[in-house]
Amino acid sequence: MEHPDAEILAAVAMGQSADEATFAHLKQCEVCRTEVAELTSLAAALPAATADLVAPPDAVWDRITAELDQHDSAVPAPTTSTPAAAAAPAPTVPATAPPVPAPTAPAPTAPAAAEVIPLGRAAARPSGLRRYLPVAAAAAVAGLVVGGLLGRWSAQEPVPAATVVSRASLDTLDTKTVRGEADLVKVGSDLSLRISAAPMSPDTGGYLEVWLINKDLTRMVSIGVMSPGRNDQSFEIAPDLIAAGYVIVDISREKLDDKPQHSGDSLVRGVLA
Amino acid sequence: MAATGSRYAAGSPVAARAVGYGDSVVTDDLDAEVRELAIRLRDGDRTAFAEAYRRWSPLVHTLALRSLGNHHDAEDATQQVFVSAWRGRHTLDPDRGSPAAWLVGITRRRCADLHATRARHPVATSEDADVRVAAPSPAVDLDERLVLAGLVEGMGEPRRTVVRMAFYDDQTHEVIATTLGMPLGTVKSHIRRGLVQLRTHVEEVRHGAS
Ligand SMILES: [Zn+2]
Repeated sequence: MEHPDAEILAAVAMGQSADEATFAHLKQCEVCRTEVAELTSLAAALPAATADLVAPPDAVWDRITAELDQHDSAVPAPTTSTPAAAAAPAPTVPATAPPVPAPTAPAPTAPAAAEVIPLGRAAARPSGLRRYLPVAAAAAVAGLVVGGLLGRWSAQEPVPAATVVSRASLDTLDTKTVRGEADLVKVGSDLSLRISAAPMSPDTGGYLEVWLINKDLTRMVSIGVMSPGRNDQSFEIAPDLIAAGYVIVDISREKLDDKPQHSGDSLVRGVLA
Repeated sequence: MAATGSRYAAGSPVAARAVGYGDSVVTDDLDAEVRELAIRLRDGDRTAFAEAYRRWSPLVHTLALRSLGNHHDAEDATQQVFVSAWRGRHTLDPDRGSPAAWLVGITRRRCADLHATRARHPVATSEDADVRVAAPSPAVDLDERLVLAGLVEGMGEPRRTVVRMAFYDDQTHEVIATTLGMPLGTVKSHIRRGLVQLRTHVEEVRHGAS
């Protein structure tokens, strides 16, 4: 007796249609019935299994590579020069609770270690307040990692109509209260980030700035300023940015202090997914 | 197709095929991808090691955190697990399945060692115990939900994203297909094969624990 493909049994387990031959087989095959039952309970358990994973801090990976490089000279250092530098693992960013990247201002004397993306490379077209900044200058540059998948998929077939490519729920960092959402909208080959959020107040004399933070949590880019009193606003996004892993949307309170970097005072944040 | 941001190592034939899609060949490649990752890791490919860390360090670290009860020890244990994994990479048998079960096995032994060390050298640990963490226990608890979450996290892309959207965000297949610009049949295939893959990997972790 030939058993149906596991994929077909999975379809049955999830209550999706299967052909009569499969059901006929299931009637007489206990092995496959058991398999379907196991897959069914797994599918039922999955939605509750989102929780509680705690990714180790980046420093752990640094310590591992340091220990291996020190004691294991046969091991080549990971290359960061190749375009597909999978060598540096990106910290896992849970969709619901991104770790706070501690967007501290770079030390004024030592910005050399952090990567600053030139404006021309990352931005499709210049716009007002777009800047590319190092975050946590001391952090080792993780390289170009992960990300990009959404960008690649969306680049497949240009669609004239506006489509929402991905969406982030904008939640407060402390209580995870949902304050709005950010949609990555694609029209033709153009991408924009549409912010719709409950009213948020800047500090007196300050303003609200919208950022995209890289998944590697060491780089971020300002994509614009929320106009006062507006809670629904779109910002042009260079597709390269999304492809390069800038998928964490962050809105911060900024002061008019001529400091271009992130104030560290994030109001809401969410991961485009 | 632009390779920008590809998380796959250059020169990986599986990776090159896996980013194409439209039929079930994609999903077959993704099933093969875990095996290839294991082979590359066993053979000393440092990028495969980094990839394994990226995929499964949240699971390793969380298991250690629950067992050891504080962040400091959990981070040390995670470091030791991956250093041991690299040095003992020849013990990884790609024919026995995903590296996840192998890493979980190393984690359990490492945590047991650390508990044994603590027992021989009792020190005041209460002050640095993290209050958010439940009472530490010598045996690593292979809590089903945690293992499942860790295995989903360790899935190859784009399957991980598809599975997360389907099961965590409760999105319809049509919405996932539109959002990701992926054919509907590919989405369904990823979800079904993802479920089968998870079942296999859960069994491997359980089997390794028994
Ligand atoms: Zn059967």
